[in-house]
Amino acid sequence: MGRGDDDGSALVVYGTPLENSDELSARKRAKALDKGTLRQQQPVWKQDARDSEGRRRFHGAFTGGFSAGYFNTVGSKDGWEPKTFKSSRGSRADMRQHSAYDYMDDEERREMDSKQIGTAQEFDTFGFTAAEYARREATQETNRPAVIPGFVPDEIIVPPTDSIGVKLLRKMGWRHGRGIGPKHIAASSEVKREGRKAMLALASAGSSSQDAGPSLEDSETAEEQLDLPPTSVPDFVRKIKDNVHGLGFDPFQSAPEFRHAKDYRLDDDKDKVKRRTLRPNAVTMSKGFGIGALEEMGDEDEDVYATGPHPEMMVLEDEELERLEKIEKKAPPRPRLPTVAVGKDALPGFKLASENTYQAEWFHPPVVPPDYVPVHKFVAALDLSQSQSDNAPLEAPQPEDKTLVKLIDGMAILVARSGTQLEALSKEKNKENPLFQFLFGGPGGDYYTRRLWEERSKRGLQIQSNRDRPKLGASERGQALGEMPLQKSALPAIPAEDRARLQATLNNTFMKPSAEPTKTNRLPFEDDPAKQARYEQFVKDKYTGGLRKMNKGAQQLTEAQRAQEILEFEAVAHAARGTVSSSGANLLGKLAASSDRFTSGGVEQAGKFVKSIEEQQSPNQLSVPSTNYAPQPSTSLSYPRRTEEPWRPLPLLCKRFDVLDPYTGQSSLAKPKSRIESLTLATPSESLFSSKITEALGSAAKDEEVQRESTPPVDEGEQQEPEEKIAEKPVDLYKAIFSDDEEEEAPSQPVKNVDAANAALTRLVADDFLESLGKELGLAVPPPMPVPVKAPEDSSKGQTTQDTSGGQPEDISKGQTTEDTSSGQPQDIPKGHIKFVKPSRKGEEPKADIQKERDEKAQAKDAQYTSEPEDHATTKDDKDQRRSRDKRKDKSRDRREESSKERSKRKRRERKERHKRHKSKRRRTSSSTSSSSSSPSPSCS
Amino acid sequence: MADQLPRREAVVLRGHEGPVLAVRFNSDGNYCISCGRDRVLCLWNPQKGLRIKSYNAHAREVRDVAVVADNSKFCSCGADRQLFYWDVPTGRVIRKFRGHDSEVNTVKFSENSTVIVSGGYDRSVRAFDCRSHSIEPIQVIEAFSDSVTSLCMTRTEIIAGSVDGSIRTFDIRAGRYCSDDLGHPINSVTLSHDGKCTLAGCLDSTLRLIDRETGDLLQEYKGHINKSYKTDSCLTNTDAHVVGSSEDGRIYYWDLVDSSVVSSFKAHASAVTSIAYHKTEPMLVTSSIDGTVRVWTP
Repeated sequence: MGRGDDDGSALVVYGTPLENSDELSARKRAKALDKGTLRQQQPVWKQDARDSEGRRRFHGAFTGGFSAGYFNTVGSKDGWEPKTFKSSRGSRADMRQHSAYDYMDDEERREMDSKQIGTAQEFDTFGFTAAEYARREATQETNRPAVIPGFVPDEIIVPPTDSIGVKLLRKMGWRHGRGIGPKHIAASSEVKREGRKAMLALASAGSSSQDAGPSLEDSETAEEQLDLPPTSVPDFVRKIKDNVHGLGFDPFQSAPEFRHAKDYRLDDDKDKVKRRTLRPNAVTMSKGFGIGALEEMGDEDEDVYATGPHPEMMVLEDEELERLEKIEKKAPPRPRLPTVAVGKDALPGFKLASENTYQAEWFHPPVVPPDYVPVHKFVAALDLSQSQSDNAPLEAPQPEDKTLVKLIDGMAILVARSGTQLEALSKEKNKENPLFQFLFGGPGGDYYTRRLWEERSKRGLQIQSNRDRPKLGASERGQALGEMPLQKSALPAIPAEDRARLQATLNNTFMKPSAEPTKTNRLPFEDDPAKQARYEQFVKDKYTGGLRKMNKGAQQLTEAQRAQEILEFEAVAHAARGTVSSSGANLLGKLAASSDRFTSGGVEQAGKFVKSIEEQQSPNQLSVPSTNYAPQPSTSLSYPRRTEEPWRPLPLLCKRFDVLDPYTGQSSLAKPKSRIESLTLATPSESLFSSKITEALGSAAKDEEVQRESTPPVDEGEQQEPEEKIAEKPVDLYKAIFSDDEEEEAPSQPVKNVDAANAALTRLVADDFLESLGKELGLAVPPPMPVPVKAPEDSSKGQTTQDTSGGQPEDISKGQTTEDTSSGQPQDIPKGHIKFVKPSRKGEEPKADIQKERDEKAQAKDAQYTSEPEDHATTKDDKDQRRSRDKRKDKSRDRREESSKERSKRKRRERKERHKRHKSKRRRTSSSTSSSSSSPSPSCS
Repeated sequence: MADQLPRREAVVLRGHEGPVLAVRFNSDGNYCISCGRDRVLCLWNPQKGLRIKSYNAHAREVRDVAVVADNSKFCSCGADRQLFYWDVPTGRVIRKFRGHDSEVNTVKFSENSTVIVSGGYDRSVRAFDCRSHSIEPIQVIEAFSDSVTSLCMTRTEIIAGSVDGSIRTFDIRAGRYCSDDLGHPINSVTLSHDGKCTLAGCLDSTLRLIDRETGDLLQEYKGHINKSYKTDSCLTNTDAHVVGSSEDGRIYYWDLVDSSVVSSFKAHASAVTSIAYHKTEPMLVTSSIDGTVRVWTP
């Protein structure tokens, strides 16, 4: 390279001159030799062993042997060079851990690494490895002087794994798995769905795939921009493993045609394929994974979570469909054979046989006989079937003897109806009778058996027809299932005797139409035709039964008048019936026959007897005094009965009902007191007294009224006196009860006066009450015998009743009814001073005795009209006294009707006082307790 | 008067798959709720005949339902021995009350809707507290000797009818209870709107009107059949007539005073299980074994 002008040659040379071709070839050769590519060209003795990088590995036995020497092992000409060990206080020599790697060359290392298992980047689903790589690279970069001087922990600086393009796309709403490009191009909903599916399948796609994704997408979009929507088909979902082979194992590796066969077979049942392939998808899908805000909500989006076809399967299906169509066109439809149904297509390389050699064998269905009915019919009666069809006896000729024929016919009918026992019986009976020889197989025996069979079959038919019974009702079903009948549960857990008593009470209340209405020839109210008409109506109603109705004609009358009239009517009817009523013995017979046939009119006593029996048998039972012959029509019912008892609502309940706790301050729940206690400890107020009794007795409210009305005399001033006296001595209350008892229990004498019948009626009421009361008291300590008791303290009360006693003779049409069986002794009682204590009715006596006594009583009652029984040895004064009380009762009853308001007021007062008493319960003196302890025996007082 | 009685079938509410055991109006009468053997409670609009919502949680048949005064909740009971306290709009069960030993026949709310009172086959009446979170009853009343079939409430009283034939009135204010023994198994107990009388349906095919003050029997109403099924009876909104349901699917109207049958008509194909009368208007809903609820207007 010089200046041609200066040299004169005027030759200017630019560039580099070409080398000598020889030189070049020699250098190339050397290079090739070095690389070992020209080895084959060398003679064998000139060749030497070199590694892949062209290094000599073998140096000959005298120059270092295999792999020894300067080039291969250590980097010095001197070969192994021992290091000097230096360690001082300032710089400690670190103990270096040598590993096998230190003594390996690259080749060996590579070989070593290939034996280890590690994750390859292409399977890095979650992008952890990619992130790790990025971090490592970043740390390598940090070897440069850092912006932040000093130590920065790796955790803080996490280098970005997404490219800026991905980030930008994300910000624009792109999500991994979606295509890039205008939406209208991406119209194919299927493909979109595929993409979404894939995205769902791998909900948290790794960043490695994100790394790879965009680039791949880009290329793909570039390719597919023309006709396909710019969707990024996820490259990481290649094929979902749906078999049980090991990972990566391909059973069709060496036989790809079987893979096709398998695919076809799978495609045969597309649903099955779908299900199988998509199950893993369904598992990974989480429910909360919704549609992005920027995604358009199209029709196709609705079934995002539905198990649609898988993208890959979709492709496959499409191809498959095409192929199938082709095949379908080519090959005519052939019959599917159950055994050879492998696939629709033959294996590649095979052709389908044009003719099938396999012949399916078809059998004809069995021929149904023309008379076949596809319903099974049972023979008429199963139990009789054997006598009907199995061994039907042969037709036998009739015997000549007509009488014998008749006999046989009759016998057969009888036996068929009543069973074989009859046959056996008649056999036994007529052993010797020659006429009945047919029973023993004699003459006519065949005919008999034939007839018997015929009759039986007839009966069987009848039984069968009986089977078509009407449907069972609820009660029958309940009975069949062993349930308690509903109707009976009205009297739950009532012993039989109590039920009978209830029946008696019912009889007192309800009327049954009596068999023969009494013909009263005599008109009791002749002078007043209207009244007579009402009376007749009354009698008619009485015998038609049912509840007592309001008499229409009596509407112009006042309540009191009406009540009085009804009472009158009752009495008249009672008397009229009494004259024709049957004897007591008969009545008892009736009672035994059917206890519910009694009307309230004539046979009151029988009912009473029933009642007394019940009470004697079960003294512990609460007896509910029934208000027979109560004046009002409504009170003539014993149902409904009212009972009141204290009941303690819990404080919380009161609070929730916004009500003050009526039992505030009481620690324990107010227990229902024992009846005796409640009787003896009652505060001495008249109203309280009566209400307390009724409360304790659990009697009905009406009885309470009756009782209360019975105690106060007509005169108010008079009434005050006994009350005060009782107030002074609460113990007397007990006696007061008994004085009542005595007065009402006092046996009566039969007087045949119709006018006073109403008095008898009220007395019956009182008797009822007394019975129950006596029973109650007897419950605590039963006095074995009636004891006349001196009770001077009570005289005041007794006198009040005496004062009002007036002098008319008394009539009890039916005489003494509630006569106590054990107290049937005559009682001579001085007026007003001796208390006849009603004895308790414990079941001391056996029932038979009671029954006997009752019979006697009933007979005595029959005789009452003519003669006065001896056992009713009450003084005249007693009678008068009681009668006057009865009168008082009537009056007070009238008063009550008029002043129901007052009554309610009084009730309220009572209730208040009762509350007071509850509160003062603790303040009760010992005297009261002592009295309570002594109270059970009435004789002590 | 009598021609204003609901006798015309306005709407048939179908939706229950089986006998409907009870139907009740809500407190203003714009909706009604029914329950049945299909263990579902249905909320209806009886005017339009729309089924608004179904409530499904009971394990066995639902026998009765009661709605709170503000209509936000209701309570149902049934053969699964539990009381379900429901939220109406969401249809969720707020609470389940236990305690009954047997089927629960009837449920009612107290007037201020703080207490649920229920009566059951276990012969008890139980009061449950809606305010606390306790599911145990605050009081158990075991005064009965047979299954408690029906309940009604006043401000301070619990009135319960039982198969033992008694109507028992538990007066919380007075701390007393009084029992009116009617002598026949009682199927339903309803109060008159003036609160002075109790109408008791008895199993002897009789309705009885009882004076609450005295316990007197005021009137009896007969003509229908009621011997074995649980049916309802009630008074019309004016208290002028008594409505009773019969086992032959008929509805009877009696005059309150003279107890004559004013009207009767065939309402259902089979036994009527429950009736409810609108509080202010002449409107009656009936439910039946035949699985329908029918709305009747004049």
